[in-house]
Amino acid sequence: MAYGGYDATRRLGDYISSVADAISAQNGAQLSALLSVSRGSYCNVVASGLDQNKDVNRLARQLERAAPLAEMLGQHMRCMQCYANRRYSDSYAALEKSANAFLQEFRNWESAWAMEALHSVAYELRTIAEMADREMAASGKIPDKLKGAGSFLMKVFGALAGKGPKRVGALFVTCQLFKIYFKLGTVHLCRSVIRSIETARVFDFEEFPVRDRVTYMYYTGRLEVFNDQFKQADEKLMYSLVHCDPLKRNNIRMVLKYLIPVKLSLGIMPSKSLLEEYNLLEYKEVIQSLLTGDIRLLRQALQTNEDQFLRSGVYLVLEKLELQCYRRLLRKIYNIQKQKDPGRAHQVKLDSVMKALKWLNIEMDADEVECVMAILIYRNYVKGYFSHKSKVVVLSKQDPFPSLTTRVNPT
Amino acid sequence: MADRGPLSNRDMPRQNNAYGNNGYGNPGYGNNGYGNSGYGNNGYGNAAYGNTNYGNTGYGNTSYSNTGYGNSAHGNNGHGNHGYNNSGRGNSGYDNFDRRGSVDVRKPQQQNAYRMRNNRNNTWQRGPVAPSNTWRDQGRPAEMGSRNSYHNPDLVQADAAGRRPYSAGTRPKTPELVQSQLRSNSRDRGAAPAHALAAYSDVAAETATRPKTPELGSEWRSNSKGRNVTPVRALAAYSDVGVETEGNFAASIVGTCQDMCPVREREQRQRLRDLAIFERINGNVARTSATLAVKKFCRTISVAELQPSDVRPQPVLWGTLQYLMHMLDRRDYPFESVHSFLFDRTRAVRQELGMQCIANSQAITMFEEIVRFHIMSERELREKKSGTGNEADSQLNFQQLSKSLLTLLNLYGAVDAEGGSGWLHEAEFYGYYVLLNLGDREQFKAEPLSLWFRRVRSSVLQAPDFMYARKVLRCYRNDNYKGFFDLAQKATYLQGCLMELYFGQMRSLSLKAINCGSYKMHPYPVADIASLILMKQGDTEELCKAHGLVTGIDKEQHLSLMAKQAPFTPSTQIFRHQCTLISRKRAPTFFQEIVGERDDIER
Repeated sequence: MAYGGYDATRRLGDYISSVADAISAQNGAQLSALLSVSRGSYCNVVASGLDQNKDVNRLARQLERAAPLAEMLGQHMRCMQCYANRRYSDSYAALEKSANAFLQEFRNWESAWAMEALHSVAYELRTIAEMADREMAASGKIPDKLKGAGSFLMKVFGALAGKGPKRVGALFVTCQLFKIYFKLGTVHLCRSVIRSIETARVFDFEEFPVRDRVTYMYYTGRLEVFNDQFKQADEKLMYSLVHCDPLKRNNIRMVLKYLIPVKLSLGIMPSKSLLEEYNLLEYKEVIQSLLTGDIRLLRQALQTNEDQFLRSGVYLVLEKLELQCYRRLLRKIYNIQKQKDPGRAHQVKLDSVMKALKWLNIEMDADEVECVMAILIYRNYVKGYFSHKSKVVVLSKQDPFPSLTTRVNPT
Repeated sequence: MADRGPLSNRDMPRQNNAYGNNGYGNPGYGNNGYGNSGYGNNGYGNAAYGNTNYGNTGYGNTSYSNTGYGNSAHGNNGHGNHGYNNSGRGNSGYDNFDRRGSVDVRKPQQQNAYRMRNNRNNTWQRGPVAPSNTWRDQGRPAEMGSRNSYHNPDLVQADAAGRRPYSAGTRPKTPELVQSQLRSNSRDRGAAPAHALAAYSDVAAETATRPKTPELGSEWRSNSKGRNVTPVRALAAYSDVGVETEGNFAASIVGTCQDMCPVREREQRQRLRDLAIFERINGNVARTSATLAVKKFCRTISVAELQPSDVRPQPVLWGTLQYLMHMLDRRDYPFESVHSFLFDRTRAVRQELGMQCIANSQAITMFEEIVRFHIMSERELREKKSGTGNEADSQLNFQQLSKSLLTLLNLYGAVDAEGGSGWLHEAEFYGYYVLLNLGDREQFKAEPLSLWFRRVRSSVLQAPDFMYARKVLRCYRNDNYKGFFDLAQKATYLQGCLMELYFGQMRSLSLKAINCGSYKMHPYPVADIASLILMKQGDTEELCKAHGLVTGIDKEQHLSLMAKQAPFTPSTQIFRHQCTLISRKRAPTFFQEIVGERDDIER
């Protein structure tokens, strides 16, 4: 849409005036909307205004009205201009300068009225950095903008994390940082941020806005999953699920994607309807295999959906379900034997297990089966003992298969 | 206080021949006295063996926050280092490498000769320091590998965070002394530190803009087997592990040195009698030749003094590496000496590859060979470990193994393979990464394996070598010790070397499980356990004992393990039974193992 020359300049002037007004009225929401780049509606206005602007001095005078953010606004408008022209690296560079100026002013302000605007800027930093990285990668350069955004946001976090009214905004920035670190794969950098949030006694976690809490728990839950800490992962992801807005189905799906493997490790199966509702059908076969003790199916399911599982990072977690699968297989054999001969059902020959596995096309020798049984007993999946000499597993007469949720894992 | 000796700290006599700490928070053995022969710490937060005094024969560190043997402060690479760039043991001075192969048993004065004569205390100051005049005055150009790494004020500044030791037992510096030294600098008369820095940054810039010699460059860059990547991508490949030199890499340097060791360094080391055993002609500690001398690793290189004639170009690096690898099969010296030598020299090779940002197929092959060397020596060192306390070597080796492997994996990503079919051994090395990281790590210590897997190419994911590693991972995570040991039997030699790291763990696990679940009335024959966990019967018995498990003769006269023994204690000693199965897998020579089959001549 081509604005007339005067028109464009006038609109630009209007834009700058509205920013100035927002600042003087300390209207954070308004300012936030005006500063949005990728999500906002002012980019084109600013861009065409700047493109057509001939009068630099006049522009400078106009900017003065927006003091104390004049410097910031100048850079920010340049960012918008580059963004509208799809020059993302330059856009990011300008944005970083703008954010820097903003942060310096923000630090001086007592109250947190501009928090929303700061959040908006943080969001834009991440988003535009991602686009800039893509642009750089496409042209053969090494992408480093996102990394820079990460370090800058750490500075922002530092400005917010102290005591005072500004702290309430720290969690949002934390979440932006998480997103960056997860994208870059440098999750070890999350540690310091998490420490700051979680060791604060002065501030109650519940005082942060719920949206940020959900996101925070989602990412920290994922970290626990990666480190095989399933109990903690369960707590955090459940918190996230419970507090998530039911209408945000996409978010729920993301939480479920990680919660399901965790729950499976704890022996809790999601219903088929849940999987269908949230389109998580890749787990269907996994769950099926756990319910029937079909190890071959489990391995197949892992292989079929390998890419998906690897990408989300749950593959190694799912591999660990093999022991549970063996447990279920043993249980099935036990049940069948109970029907045939209840008196001696608790004695399961290793041979039977081997036969069952052979039907599943899995070749395992007696020693390996014994090893699996020994581990099942050792890890409290199964109660009983095994005899090497007689090649038999003797299950306890009472509760041979204790509930998985209450299982204690010895190490 | 980690007092592990029979005597408490206070009772420790001065001339200590045993273990006893007198330091701060030392977990290890430590003495603080004179004429110690043993292990001793005296510093802060030392986590290993370290002496800080004179005439120590043994392992010694003297500074702050040491981890391991041989400080991680001033590029010391061994034991008993006191000074800079030492690698060896019982050294006291600079750049001493293993003069006697192991422990320096000379008298204190002789050992500390370097310290006393060339005492560089006057450069040990806080804050950036202008370089001292002495070396320059003597008309000896500051050389690469120069001990006076404090020529570079950047480095000095970095170390000003308190990591630099004040050498114990010397006079404290008076302010006047400090001032006078600052003034005696030709470059900058008592200028504020900032000025000194600025002075150097100009020089750095000069280095950066020095034009490459195009003729030489094109010669080896036009490698037919693999194009060089753009410098930017090459740099990224090396950036992860931080190429171990400083300076501006905007334009990477192009080496011109045609020998394995630059002439300057060769002459200097001859003068200083700083030649390794393998570099000497007829054992003469002051004579070497171009065919014997190999360039040493220097942790800190001041860019200002770096010249192209000090850096070896790729073909020379290749030749050097082949020469080094052939040394592995020498029988005339113990493996540790050979290893130390190769460890240091291959590190220098890697450093130069990084400095010159060489990223092509030959560089990849070189890194592959170096990683294989480290894996292989890891095992060899472990074998010698029990009893002789070689842990420093092993630890350092492990560290370098990780670093070089990381760089190699980066290189695979940075360099496009010819024909798009990927690199021949890529899966093998990705597999090694998995095998190295099977176990639990500290949380947040590094990238979790789950996330790392995301980055692996699908062509690698399905490759047999990598699938093998994945199977091992699966067995490990599912506690399937039988599966694990079965796979170990099918491993290649190098894979076996890495898996051996976890043998102890898996063996203990098997004993735990068997003890826990076995039927009381049917004791488990030890012979069966032994074959399960790939140990000899006698060793298995020992292992059981170490875990507090009792064995006995059962009815059929077999040695068996009684079941359900209550206290299963974690083993107090670390068992390192070499698995002969793995030993048998090795190729006839080390060189073959490292180099494998390749169509040679990739120049």
